[in-house]
Amino acid sequence: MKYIILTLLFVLLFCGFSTAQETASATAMGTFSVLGYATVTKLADLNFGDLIVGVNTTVQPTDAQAAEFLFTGDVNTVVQVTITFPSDLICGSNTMKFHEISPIYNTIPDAASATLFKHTSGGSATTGADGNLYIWAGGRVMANKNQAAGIYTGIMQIVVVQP
Amino acid sequence: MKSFCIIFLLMLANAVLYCQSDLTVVKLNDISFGTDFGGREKRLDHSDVGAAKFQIQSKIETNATITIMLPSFFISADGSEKISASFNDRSAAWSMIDNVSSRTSFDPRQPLSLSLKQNQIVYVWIAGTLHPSRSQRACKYSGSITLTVHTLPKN
Repeated sequence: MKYIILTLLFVLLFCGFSTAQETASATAMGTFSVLGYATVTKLADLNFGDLIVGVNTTVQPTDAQAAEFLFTGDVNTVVQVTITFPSDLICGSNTMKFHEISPIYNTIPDAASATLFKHTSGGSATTGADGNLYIWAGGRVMANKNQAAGIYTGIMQIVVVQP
Repeated sequence: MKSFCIIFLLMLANAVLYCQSDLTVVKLNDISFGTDFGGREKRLDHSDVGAAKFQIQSKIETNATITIMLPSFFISADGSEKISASFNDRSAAWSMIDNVSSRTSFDPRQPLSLSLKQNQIVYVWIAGTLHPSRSQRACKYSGSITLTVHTLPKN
């Protein structure tokens, strides 16, 4: 009898608990990705000047006539630089073959101490402590003996990808 | 002895019932503010697909109080950078039905009291606004929202 009473007390106790308050929770994770600002500015066009017929004219990336670009993005960040050169310079219906030369880069505006890209189309480079990366590009052309006189132009395009 | 065994079994059954929770809270969606540039306020509405979504269900008729722990900041993975987060009186919404039109907006900063019927499902959506600075470092930021439901059975 004593056991029965004790057991009943337990049952009543559990019945009381079964209607007690409850707490439950769940957590949602939140995410947001911030993109870095980046700009590419052309500082100078590539200029071969006046050509001598039948003679190769080369502008080295270190020359003053080289094209110059400034990329500004995240600081000390590895970026991927791709330069697309024109296959020909054009003057109306006349063309002149353009030959690529590997471009160079530096974190300061000094072409003389710049580093050569691994490929003629560019490659990876690291921005400076201020986020700047200077890029210079040259090229080589030759006017044939029967090349029509005129101003020959082409478009050089640079793409910089910052992760 | 026989009576004792029967009562013991009843007690065991009741104990099992006691162990089974009457209340469940499930996260259905995380909150995603997507991707954007720094310096631009990133506002997310509770009706946006990126809003956090929870499901609450009670097996018994009950009075529920919902409290939400909101982040003050979203933090970069290395902990060195943070973006302030803010919430207003319309950042959250609840509904007994899983659609936009039936939602009732509420302030997630304040506790919400709801009366739940037996086996009633309640959906809760939570959004907010992030304030990245113009100089905000480009990387992934994260934060968390914890929804807690406290129930008291109806008399």
